[in-house]
Amino acid sequence: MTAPLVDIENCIHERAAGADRFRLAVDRFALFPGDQIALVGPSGCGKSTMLDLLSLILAPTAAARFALSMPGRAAVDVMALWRGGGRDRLTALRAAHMGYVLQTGGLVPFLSVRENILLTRRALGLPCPGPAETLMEWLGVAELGRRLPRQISIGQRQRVAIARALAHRPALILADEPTASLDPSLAEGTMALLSAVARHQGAALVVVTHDHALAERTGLTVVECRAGTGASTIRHEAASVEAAA
Amino acid sequence: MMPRIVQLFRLALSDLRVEWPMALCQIIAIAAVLTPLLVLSGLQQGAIGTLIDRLNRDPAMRLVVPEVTGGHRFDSAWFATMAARPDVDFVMPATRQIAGQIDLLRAGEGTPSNGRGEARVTLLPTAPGDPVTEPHAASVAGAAGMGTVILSARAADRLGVASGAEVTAYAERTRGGRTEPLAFPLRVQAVLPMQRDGGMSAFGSLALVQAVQDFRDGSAAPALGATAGEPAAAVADYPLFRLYARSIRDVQKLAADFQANGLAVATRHAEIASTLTLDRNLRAILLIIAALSVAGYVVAVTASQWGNLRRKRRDLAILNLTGYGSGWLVAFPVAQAALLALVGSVVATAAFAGTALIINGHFQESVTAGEAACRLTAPDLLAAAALTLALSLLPAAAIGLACRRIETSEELRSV
Repeated sequence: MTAPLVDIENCIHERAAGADRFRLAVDRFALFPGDQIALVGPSGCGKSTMLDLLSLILAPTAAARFALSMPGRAAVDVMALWRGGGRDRLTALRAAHMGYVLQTGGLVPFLSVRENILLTRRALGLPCPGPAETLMEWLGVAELGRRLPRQISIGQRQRVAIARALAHRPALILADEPTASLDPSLAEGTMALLSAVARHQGAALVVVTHDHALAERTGLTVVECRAGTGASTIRHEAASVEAAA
Repeated sequence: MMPRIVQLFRLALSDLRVEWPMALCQIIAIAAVLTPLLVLSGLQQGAIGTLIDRLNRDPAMRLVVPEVTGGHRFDSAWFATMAARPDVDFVMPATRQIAGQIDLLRAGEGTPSNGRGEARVTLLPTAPGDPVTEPHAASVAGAAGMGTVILSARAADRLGVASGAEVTAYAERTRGGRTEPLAFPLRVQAVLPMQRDGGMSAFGSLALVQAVQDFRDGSAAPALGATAGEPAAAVADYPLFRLYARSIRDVQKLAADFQANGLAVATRHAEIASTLTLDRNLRAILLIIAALSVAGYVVAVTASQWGNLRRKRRDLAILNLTGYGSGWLVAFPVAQAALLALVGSVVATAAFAGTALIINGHFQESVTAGEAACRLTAPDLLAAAALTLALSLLPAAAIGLACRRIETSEELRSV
């Protein structure tokens, strides 16, 4: 049986106290290679927090199990790294195995489109441009290579962000509201493109979105994240997410 | 490692290029602080440095001689020890001054009568390395130079001779109640410029000077044709010396060492001290101005870098998200500070060069060839650039270290 890329069990993230208090509990979450899921739910339910946990930029408060098993690599105990102050190791893991698409692209404003796309490849010391060239052509941004992010449209920025997330051929792609700032027709196309490119590269995909219908139309497995006092469980393989705010 | 450094500077340069007005302001700020400091330093080195160089070029300013004859004897070991000292440029034995007095007469002029064409000179020993007689000392040294001398400008003028002229030297001694004259021919090998020696001097080999003293002492001096008298005893030591410090800054230390050993020496210390005090005071003023400017610069650079980095937290968060760890986050502002400091230093150096050109043009008539009213050497300029670099890198590194623990998730929520 294939091991999950991400295997989380009884993971909690708590933030602040008082009025801003927020608690996300993940009973069980298992993401397998090639999975394409959409985390959906209302604002404040913890979708983005979940994505931050998955992208290793946010430390869980506690977890019974939080393991990364990237293809061909031994499983990594993420909790142990967080506890041991291994931030740079976590950053290296993220660079090597993950790609991230932010809401409005999240491009570095002072780098050209081309350098944005090559950002992770250069951090990893991989040959440049490598497969990024083909990817840029496929995503229709090859002609924009020398432009700065501010000189291209929001839709183009999203495609550049997708290219950047995939340029180093990661096993896991995380996307935080990648279509939120796009008009519906563009959103449909961008989501489809993201799904297609991830599938083409054999990468697992986790998308955070408000748009339940769009996620379903794109063919993503919808995992609901519900806010409130009551716990909610959405099945994805053996995975479940429970959030309480 | 190399691709990482290339990528680091690619990131740093890209940011500076896109935000060029900000970068330009920072470069101008660096140059605005550095240029006046360079000009002040250049003026201090130019004006005072030229003065000190002039004093250093004048051997008389570096001369150290015993005040009293006969109080001490200086043997060959003493001279070897002195010559080996790093603060000693040249040291030469000297005979008793009276014994070294001779009369010179232009060849073919008969006998001395104290008129034009004759001169009483002090015969002094010289050797290669002597700052007074260089580069002619070698030509009068050794056996081949026994019949040659180098004349001071005044002596040559008095004799009315130039380089290459033949003169006759006259000396006398009293032996057994009888006066014995001695005459021997000498060839004028060179005539010194007036600024090298303002007296009535003739410089010859130590052997020539020793032979004249032997003759005066009643001994035979066969090298000069005086065969009467006992053969001269081998010379073991000398009553005097002529010593030149390496620089005017070494004179006081040498004089103090001699004094500590009970030997009173004559130097031009008072004249040297006034110049060096002026130099020291100007340096102190420059240092105070520089310290204040540097303090202001460090505060301005730190504030500017801190503000810049605060503004870029989101960009740094994206870099971290895409795989750039804490090392990169520290190195990024450091690389930018290095680039700005280097360009700022280049601009300041160019501005200094232009200003120095104007200043030197203005003071053209006060300086001679090779001198400048405002000057800095390449090592000085490199040191200034290195200091600027260090003063820019330290706050950048401190700020980078403070910001390396950027909370990426929090910063990205504002994207």
